[in-house]
Amino acid sequence: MKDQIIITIGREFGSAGHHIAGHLAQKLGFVLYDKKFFIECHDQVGFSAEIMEKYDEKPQNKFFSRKIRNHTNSIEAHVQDKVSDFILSRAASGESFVIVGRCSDEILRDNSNTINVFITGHMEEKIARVMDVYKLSREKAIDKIKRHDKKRKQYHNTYSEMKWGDSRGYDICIDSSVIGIEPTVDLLVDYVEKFRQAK
Amino acid sequence: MSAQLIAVLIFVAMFLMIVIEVFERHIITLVCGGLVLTVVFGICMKDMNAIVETLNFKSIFTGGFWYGESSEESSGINWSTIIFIVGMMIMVEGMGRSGFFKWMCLSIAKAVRYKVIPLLICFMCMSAVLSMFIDSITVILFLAAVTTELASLLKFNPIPVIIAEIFCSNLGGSATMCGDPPNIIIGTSLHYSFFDFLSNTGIIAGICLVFIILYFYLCFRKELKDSEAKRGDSISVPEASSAIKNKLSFSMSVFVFAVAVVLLVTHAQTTFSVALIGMIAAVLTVVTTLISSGTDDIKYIFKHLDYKTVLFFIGLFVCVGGLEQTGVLTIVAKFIQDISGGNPYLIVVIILWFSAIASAFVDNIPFAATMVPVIKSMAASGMDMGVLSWTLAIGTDIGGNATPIGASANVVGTSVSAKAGHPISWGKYCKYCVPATVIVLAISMLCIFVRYL
Repeated sequence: MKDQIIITIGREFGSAGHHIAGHLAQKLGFVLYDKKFFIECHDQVGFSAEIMEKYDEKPQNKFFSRKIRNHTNSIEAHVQDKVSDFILSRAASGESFVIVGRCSDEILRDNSNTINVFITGHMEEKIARVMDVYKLSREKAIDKIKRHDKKRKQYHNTYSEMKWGDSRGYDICIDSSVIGIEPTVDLLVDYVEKFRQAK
Repeated sequence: MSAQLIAVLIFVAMFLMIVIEVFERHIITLVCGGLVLTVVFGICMKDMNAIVETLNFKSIFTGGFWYGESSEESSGINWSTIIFIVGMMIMVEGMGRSGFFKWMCLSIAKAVRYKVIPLLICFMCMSAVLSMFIDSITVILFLAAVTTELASLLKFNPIPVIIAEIFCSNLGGSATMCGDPPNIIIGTSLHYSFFDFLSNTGIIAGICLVFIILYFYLCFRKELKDSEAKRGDSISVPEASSAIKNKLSFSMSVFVFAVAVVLLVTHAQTTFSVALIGMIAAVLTVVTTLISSGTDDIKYIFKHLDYKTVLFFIGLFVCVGGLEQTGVLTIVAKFIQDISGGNPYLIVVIILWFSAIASAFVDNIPFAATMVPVIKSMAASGMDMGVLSWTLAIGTDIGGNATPIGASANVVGTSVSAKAGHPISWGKYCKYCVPATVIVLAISMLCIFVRYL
C-alpha cells in the first residue's frame, strides 16, 4: 500500500484532460479508469453497458427524482453509488491507477495516496480541439463546451463538498494550453515522482 | 389580506423546495412552519389564539383524543396522526427485525412452487393486503428485496414484479384508514373509523385490484413465462425458516401485529382512537422485544425510527394551519364550488382527477393535508362529506402510482430494484403504471357515481 499512488483527473470539456490522463497512465504504467472502461467492464460495477453509457457521470434531474430516507429513484445516483464503491474497492486493493472524473477527488478525499488534478484550457484552444475532434462549427463547439461543463459542474457539486474546478479542492490545477499537452503530462509525471519521494 | 398572501407564499415556497429537495424535507416544513407561526400569526395577524389552535397541544389532553367518541373539531397539528404513525413505525421496525416479512415472502414463494406467474399474482395480493395495515414503504422495502433475491435464484427479470407490487401496495393502502398517510390524515381529521374506510374506499380498491391483477398479468405474462421456460430444473432457494433468527421474537412480533390489526378493525366498537392503538402497538413492541431479545434490539428499533418523517408531518400541519387560519382554504373551496356550479358529478371529477394528477408529481401527504380543510368547507355548504372524503382519498392514493416519484413506495421500490442492478427508468415505469392508474381512477369514478350520487 505504501507504494500506491492514485491520480484523479477533473477536467473542463475540450481541455484534453482525458488525453492527458491516458498518457499519464501509460507513462507511469498505471491502470486507467475512464468512461470506456466503465462501459466495457460494466459487470465489475453491477449495471449493464447501456445503463453505464446513459447514466454514468450524469447529473440528477431534481424535478424527476425524489429521495425517501436513503432511497432514491434516480438511476444516476445509483450508478454513482456503485461507481463510488468500485473506486473505493480498487483503492483498498492497493492498486495504483489514474481515474478520470466521477467525483473521484471527493470519494478519495481521505486517501493519503491520492493526487487530485484539475485540467483547464484556454477557451480558443478548447474550441479548436472540439471543432476538430467532433467535426463541428465554431458555434456548435462553443455550445457543446458550455453544455458539457455545466453538466459536469452540476454532477460534481451534487456529490462533493468542494466545488468543481475550485483550486482548494485539488492538489494541482493546470491550464493545458500554457505549456502544451505533452509537457503537461511530463510535469505531472515529475509531480508524481516528487510526491512519491515526499511520502 | 397580507397574512393570506404571506401564508400562500410560504406554502408555495415549501412545496417548491420539497419538489427540488434543496434541503431535507423535514427541515423545509419545520422552517416554513416556524415562519407561519411567527410572521403570519405573530406579526401580520397578531393572533395568539391562532398559534395555540395550530400547535393544538391541548387536544392531546382531552379524553376523546385517546378513548371514546370524539366530535371535537380541531385544526393545525394533527397529533393523532403523528402518534399513530410513530406507534406503527415502532411496531413495524420490530417486525422487520424479527424476519416476519422475509419469512412470509419465502413461504408464499414455496407454496406456489417457485412458479413465476403465480408468484407475481401472490406478491401483488400480499403487497395490497399488507399495505392495508402497514405503511407501504416497509411493505415494498421487504417485498422488493425478496423479489430481487428470488429473481436472481429463479432467473427472471424482477422489474415487472416490482412494478406490480408497488402499484398494488398503493392500491391496498387506499383501502383502509391506516394504509396510506393521506387516509390517516382524512380519517383522524374528519373522525372516520377503520370500518368506514374499509366499507367505502376498501370496496372500490377491492374491485380495482381484480382488474389490476388482470392488467399486469396481461402485460407481463409473456416475458415471465419465457424466463421460466429458459430456467433449468435445479433451483436452490433458502427455506422460509432461515429468515427467522429468533423464534420467540418472531412469535411475539406476529402477536403484536395481530393485536394491532384486531384493534384497528374493531376501533369503532371499542372507541379506541388511532392514537391509542398506535401507543398500544408501540408499548407492546417495546415490552415483547425486551422479553425476547433484550435492550440491544430496543436500541436498534429506536435508532432506526424515521424521526425525519415525524418532524416533516409536524411542520407540514403548521403550514396548512396557516392557510386554514387565514381563510385561504375557504376561498379555494368556494372556487371549486363556483367552477363546478354546485354539480356533485363535476365536483367529484374535479377532486378525483386534480388530486390524482397533483399526487403523481408532488408528495400526496401535503396535498391531502391541504385538501382536508377544503372539503370540510365544501361539506359545510351542503355537499356530502363522505363522498368528498372517499374521492379525495382515492385521488391522492391512486394518483401517486402514475410516476416513480408519486408515492414513497414507488421511490423505495425502484431504489431497491436499482441497488440490485435492475434500474427502472421513468419511461419503463410510466409505460405500465400510467395506463393502470387511468384504469383504476376510471373504475373508482364509476363506483363513486353509481354508489353515492
